[in-house]
Formats: sequence, structure tokens, C-alpha cells
Amino acid sequence: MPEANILLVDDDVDIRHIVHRVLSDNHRYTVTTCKNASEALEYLDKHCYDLVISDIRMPGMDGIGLVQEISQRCPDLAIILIGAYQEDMPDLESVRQVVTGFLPKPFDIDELLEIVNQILTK
Amino acid sequence: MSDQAATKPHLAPSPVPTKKQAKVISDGIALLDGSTIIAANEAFADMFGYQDAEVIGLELGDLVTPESRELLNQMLLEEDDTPLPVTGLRKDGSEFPGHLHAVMTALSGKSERVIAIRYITGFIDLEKERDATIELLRLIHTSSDLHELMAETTSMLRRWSDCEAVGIRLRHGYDYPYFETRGFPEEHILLEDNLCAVDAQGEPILDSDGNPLLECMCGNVICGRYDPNKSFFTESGSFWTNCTTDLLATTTDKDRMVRTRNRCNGEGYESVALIPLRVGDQPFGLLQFNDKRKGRFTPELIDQLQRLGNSLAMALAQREAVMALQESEEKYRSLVESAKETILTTDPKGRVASWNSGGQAMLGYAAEDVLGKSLAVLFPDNAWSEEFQLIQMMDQAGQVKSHESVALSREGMRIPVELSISTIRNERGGVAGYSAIIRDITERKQAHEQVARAAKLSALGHMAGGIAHEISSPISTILLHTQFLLKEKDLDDSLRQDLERIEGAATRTREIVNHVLAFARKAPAKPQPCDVEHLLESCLRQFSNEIDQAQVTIERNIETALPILLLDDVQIQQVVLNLLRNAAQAMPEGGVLTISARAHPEEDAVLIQVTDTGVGIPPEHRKNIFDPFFTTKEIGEGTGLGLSLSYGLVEAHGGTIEVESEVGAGSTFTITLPLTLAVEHSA
Repeated sequence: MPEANILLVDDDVDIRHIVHRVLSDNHRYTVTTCKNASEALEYLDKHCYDLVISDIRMPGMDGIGLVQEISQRCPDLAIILIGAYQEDMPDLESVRQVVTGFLPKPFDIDELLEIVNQILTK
Repeated sequence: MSDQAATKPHLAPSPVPTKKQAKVISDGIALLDGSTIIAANEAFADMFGYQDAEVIGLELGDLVTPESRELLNQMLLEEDDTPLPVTGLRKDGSEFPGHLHAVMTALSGKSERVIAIRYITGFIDLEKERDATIELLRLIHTSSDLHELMAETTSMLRRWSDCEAVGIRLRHGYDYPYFETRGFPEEHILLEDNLCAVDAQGEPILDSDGNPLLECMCGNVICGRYDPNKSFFTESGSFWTNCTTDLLATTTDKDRMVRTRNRCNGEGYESVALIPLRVGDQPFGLLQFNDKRKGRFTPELIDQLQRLGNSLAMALAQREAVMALQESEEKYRSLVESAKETILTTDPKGRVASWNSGGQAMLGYAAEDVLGKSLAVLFPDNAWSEEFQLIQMMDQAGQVKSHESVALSREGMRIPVELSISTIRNERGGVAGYSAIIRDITERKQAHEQVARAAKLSALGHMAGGIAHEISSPISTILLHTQFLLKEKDLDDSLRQDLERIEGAATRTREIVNHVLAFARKAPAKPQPCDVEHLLESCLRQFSNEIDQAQVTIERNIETALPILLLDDVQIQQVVLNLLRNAAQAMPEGGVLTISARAHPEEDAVLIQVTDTGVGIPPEHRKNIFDPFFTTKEIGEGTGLGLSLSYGLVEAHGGTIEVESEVGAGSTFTITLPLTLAVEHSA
């Protein structure tokens, strides 16, 4: 598995905690977490990341907005969006070109690892 | 009769009433010596077509026709003073009817007896006119057939007027052709039948008011185009002349108010009278009197004919009104009879007075079954007082606009109905009865129930979707943490087991969440062209892995060359798998599961059926099985979401799921998917 810097954006503290642990577990992924889109953008300004994993529904700018911002700043950055499949679907259309992967929730460890590894292996 | 007889004429040897007077009085008065005329007034001379002085010295006998002479002589001999009908003979040889009334008078003291003859032409024989009117009215009211009436009337008028030819024009469409004639030659009728000229396309030519133009004097009379100052028109718009030749010679088209066809004159008719048949300003036609002899008419005769014409016109108007009323009643009756609804009337006490065939069709009662009975017979007992209250409940207008209830048919079937009641009022404003319309609203109720069910499902789905969405994060947390912990190598067994139970529960919860989220879905995610055969084979492959093939036998009945459908194959596979799993679960001891697919010829659809030989679904559950969370299974064996989810997914494709089932024998679920996919939102 490659080394990679991952930025995780989610307003749910428990999700941040466990996803951080799961992804860091292999010691090759370095995971930074933040709780909303504006924090994420600050981090992105200062550091380089290989992958952004973001929840769609967040207070303030939502995941879709964040994707749009990222696509302007770092067009090659891989992005995985986490969301409840159906309700978020219509919004997803607008950023389909840019989003690299979609992880429907609720998700388990296998699903999470599979999609992350898959994207970072490319 | 004898007003004139009572008044003695105030005579001077040359009385000379003014022309105007003469016209009004129409008395021709002559003094006789023996039977010779020694003096006469202008009217007398006029009457016989002589200049004033010419009549002096003539024998009275010369002034009447030979047939009248004998009677005349007898009258003079006997000094009979009763009016004698005679036929006068004019200077030009024409004849006219009149009454001779001799009055004996003595001249200034001389012993000579002088007979003053008051010759009254057109003596208004009121009795005769009365008889004629009575006969006409009798004819009108005893003839049921218009043709019969007109034929008899024409004959009567001919007799009465003593004219050669009598015709009646009546309205037909926009023209006034001859309805009946006596004495007119065929050719005349043919040529004169139409008053209205038509253009090249056969459309009537219109006048300046936009009405069809009626030509000729007949047209004038019918349309009321006349100048009352002209002598050949009467005050009320009749036309008459005793000499068409003279009339044509002395007047212009303008005077006569129209371009006349002059046919009557061409055929030799000299005396022509046209009497309009009209009520108010509504024309019905006219009466026509033609005679080749001159001088058939007098103003009095014309007046009489006008009065007869008015009676006839009124009768015609009356007939028209009656017929229109009958037609309207007939229309109403057929409207009521052809209606699907039950339409009935009651007396003021609510007892049925009339009942239509719609009532028989809907409720099974023929008219004789319900007439005289109270409305209560239609409504089950406990609703009777409600219906009775209805009458109390009527609003100020005396109406119940619509009230839902349940009616009882003759066979005892309960039919949901809507009832509308109105009060029928009599002329004094009191209640004469009630009218009611009863509508079968079974279909409407069913449609409402479907809509309600769909709305309920939609609301449930919406709420469930909201909940599911909210819990998806916490579920992820539980699942991820548990799985993470389970990765620890040194877990003791009981801890590991506990964690596994938690993981299992979280996974099941996730399943529920996914089902619910899918259920709340608004539109199929990705409709794509799908081969139904492939789709079903794929489902069966997956399904076979899940079941024990020894117990459940799978039979296939899938048609080849099924039409390609546009659908979300993931969703439809979900639905089919759901049905297959349910079918297997219905047969815990094993059995036969049949899956079939065929094209439905009429419905433009593909039918997929899953049949099992399992326990079946009891009737009381059948209507609930598509409800979300409804399950008869044990806790943990299923979410109870499968069928409601399947229902929603199929609906979203514009299709339907239906079930047939028999307890102990098995169930068949049928999915109908239309070819033309209306991919709309659903539940």
C-alpha cells in the first residue's frame, strides 16, 4: 500500500475518530481530520494531500461545495464523498466529473478500506 | 245584427256623404220610386262602379244578378224590411256580395211611397263571422294533425270567402312555402312555393338585417313591410286588391315596397288578398285568397279575414308552445331515464313519487317496488334517522348539496353513495316534495383509498427516510468501531462473541437503513434497457446459492424474446429476489417455486410471476402485506420492509405488484412492468 496523506472532513466526531483509526492502522496513511469545509480549505492551502474524504451533509458549506472549491484549487486531487445514497444523489450529478469515489453510508471497514486503497493505488 | 236597421238614415234628396264618411259607413243609399232609382249617394254609385249621376234612372233590378232579382222583386212587393243578401252587379260586369235593406219612408207629404234603399256592402254579418270563428276554433282544437287542420281550414276559408283559390303559407326553416292550398293550379304552387331566393351555393340571400330575404308581396306581408297610408295595405299589414291589373298600372315597385313577381296577375288573378298570420312580432305565415274575378273583397271582409287569421295564428302559436313543451319534457324525461344515477322525487313526507331506470340499475329496485315507500327503504336501518335528519339539515335554499352514506340494494349489497337532495316548491312557495340524486361512489372511494394509501406510504417513507438518514452515521460508527476492535488479536472468546453480536446487530440495522433509504427513493436511479430474461437468470443464480435445492424445486417458465424494458436492473433484481426469498420462506418444508415471465398482449407490458406452494396469506392480512414493517415473521427474521420496498420500486417504474393467495395452497405474486416506462416519482 502506498504512502499517502489523507484529509478527512466530517462533522461527526465519532466518525472522525474511528475512520482515523482504521485508516492509520496500516501506518502508511497519514490522516488529518477536520470538522467542516472551511477548516478543510485552510488545511488544503497549507499542505498537500493525496486524498480528501468528505461527508456531504455538513453545517456551512456542504461536501458538494467543497468539491467545487477543491476542483478549482487542486484539480488533480482525489476526492471521496460519503453520503446517504438517495438524498444526496441529485446534488452529486453536478460534481460527478470531479468526484473520484462515493461511499454510501452506513459503511463498514471493508468497504472503507476497499475504496480508499483502490483510489490510492491508481 | 241590426244596428244599422235601427238608425233611420237622415236623407236629403242628394245626401252626398263625404268620401271619407262613405268609406267609413260603406252604406250605399238610394231613393227608389217603385223600383227605379231616383237619387243615390256617392257610395252607392261607387259601389256599383258608376259615376254619381249615372245611376239615376236605373232599375234596381239591373244592379243585381239575375239570381238575386227575383228575391229583390219579392222584397219590394212585400215591402219586407229584413236585410236581403244579394249579389250586386257592377257596371263593369263584376259581382260582389252585399245586403239590401229597404226602409220605407214618405216624402214630404206626398202619398207616393218612396223606398229608400240602403245598400250596405260587406254588411258585417257578425253572426256569420262568429259561426266561422267557432268552426275554426273547433277545427283547431279537434285536429291533432297540423295537415288535417290546415286542409279543413283552407276548405272552410274557401267556402266562406267564396274565393276560387285559397292558400296557407307556414314557416318552414327560413322560408314560408305553401302548407296547404285549394284551387291553385300545380304550376302556381311550384313556381311560387319559395319566397326566399337562394344564391349559387343554395344559401339564402339575406336582407339588410341579416335575415333571409322574402320576396314578393307575400314576403312583404309576412315580414311586416308595409305602408299603412297606401290603400292596398291595411293598418295591420294585410295586402288586398280587387284589381291587380289596375294596381300594377298605377303603382311602382317602390310604392308596393318590393319587386313583385306579378305572377298572380300573369295568371289572371285580379282579386288578391294576403292576410298575415302573426302573434306579436312572431310571423307564422299568411293566408292567401285569389280570385280571377275583380272586386271580391271589401274592407269589412278583409277585417273579418284578419280576425280569423288572428285566431288561426294564435292557435298555431299555442300548438308550437305545446309541442315545444312536450319536446322539452320528453328531453328531460329521456335525460332522467338515461342517467346512470338514481334520480327520484318524493312527496313532502319523503315517500317516493318517481323513480328512474338508473335507480333500478344501481339499487335493483324497479319503480313499482319503491313508489309510495319512504326513502328509508334504501338506507340501512341505523342510517334511516340520519337520512330523515337530512331533510331537517337542508340549507336555506332547501338543498343538501352532497352527503355521503351507504345505500342498501335490493340484493342486500351495501353501496357507498353520495346523496343530493333539493326541495321542489309549488307556486305558493310551499314544499311540493323533494328531488334526490343518488350517485354510486364506489369507484371514487376506491380511488380515494388508493390515493390515501399512496400518500400514507409516501409520508411513512419520507419519515423513515429522514430517520434512516440520521442514523446512518451512528450506525457507521458502531459498525466501524466493533469491526476495528474485532481485529485485535488477543481478544478473549467471550469478548469476541459479544463484539460479534454487536457487529451482527449493527449490520442488520444497516440493512434496514438501506432498505428504508431505497424505499424513500424518489426516482429509479438509472433506468437502462434491460433484458428481462437475463435479469431473472441473474436473480435465480444468486437465489440458488441461498437456498437448499433439495427442499425447494425451482421451475422456470420464462418466455424468450421478451421485449426490452427500460428499468433500473439493480432495483428490479432486488424486487425479484425479495419475492423469491419470501416464496422460499413460505415453504419451510419445501415445495415448488415457479418463476415465469411473459409479454402481456393487450396491456403492453411484461408480467413476471413468482408462485409458491407454501402456506398462503390469510385474507385478513392480504391488504396489509405491502405496508412497511408489516411482517408475520419472527423478530430478526426479516425487516418487514421487503414487500413495501418492492411495491415502491415497482411503482416507481410505472408498474404494479399484485398478489393472489390461498391459505394452505400457496401464493402468486405478479409484477407488471409497462413497456412504455413512465419513470415518475412514487411513494
